[in-house]
Amino acid sequence: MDPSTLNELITQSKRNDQKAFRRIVECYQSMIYSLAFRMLCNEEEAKDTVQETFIRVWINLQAYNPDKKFSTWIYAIATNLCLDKLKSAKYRLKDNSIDDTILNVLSSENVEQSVINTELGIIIRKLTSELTPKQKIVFTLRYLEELEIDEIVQITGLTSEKIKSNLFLARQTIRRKLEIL
Amino acid sequence: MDILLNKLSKTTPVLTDAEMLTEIIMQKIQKKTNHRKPIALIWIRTVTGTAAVLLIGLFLFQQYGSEKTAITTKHTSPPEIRINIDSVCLNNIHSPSSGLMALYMCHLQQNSIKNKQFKTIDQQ
Repeated sequence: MDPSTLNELITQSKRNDQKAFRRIVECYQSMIYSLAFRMLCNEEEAKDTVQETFIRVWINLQAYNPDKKFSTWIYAIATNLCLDKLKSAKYRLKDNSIDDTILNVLSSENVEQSVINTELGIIIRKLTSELTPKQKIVFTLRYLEELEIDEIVQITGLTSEKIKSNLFLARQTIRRKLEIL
Repeated sequence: MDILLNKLSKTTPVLTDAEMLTEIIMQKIQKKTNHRKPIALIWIRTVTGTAAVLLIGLFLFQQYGSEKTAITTKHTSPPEIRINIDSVCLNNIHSPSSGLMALYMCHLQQNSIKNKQFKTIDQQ
């Protein structure tokens, strides 16, 4: 979506135009789903995060500063939601059993894609299981979403030094894990 | 490790039922919009609420203040002052500038003094 169309849709959405907001949702939901899935490694949790993100976007749209990139702003909202979920005890205790995974795959309309998603989730989960929530967020944004450090600074609110140190520690932990495998 | 990370970044998780998810989001937003209160109403509520609290405060303050002054006047009005007031009243009764109410009060006071005098004469 080109910036002028996006700005027009944002302006219309600020005036409670739900049709315009629907177009924003259609455009950005896959991006947010990808981020949430890579962080949470669970399809249902990722979909819930997408919903919560867009509800927050709708509520706080008046506070959006058009000078900043819209995708960065929306990424920041989604990242904060993921961070809260990663920190919550409920999420840490929740471990996807094989039964749940099979049920998720079978209930999906596109079984092939669902299998790919599930496998991807298992690999990312295994690799990042020993990372702290902050390390996981920074690692996902940098290496899986391939964002620049400056953008990660804007999304997370962390300093570039802290981001680099978190990335270093995350890489070390993952390398150690791969050596064992 | 870099090869693995590269492969993972290239494999993007795909949202299988995107249309359904959009529909759910829009339904939730519709509900939120219906429940959203107009900003003017919130402002009116805040202002009237504050005004009500201030009025109650002022009323209580006045009540407490008047009670205090009433108590102090009760304690600080000895009989000598009353006599003085009576004498002033008696003087005022002849002046045309005094109000009707004041004149009437003085008249009553005069009567009561005369009654007392008659009583003492009767007793004697």
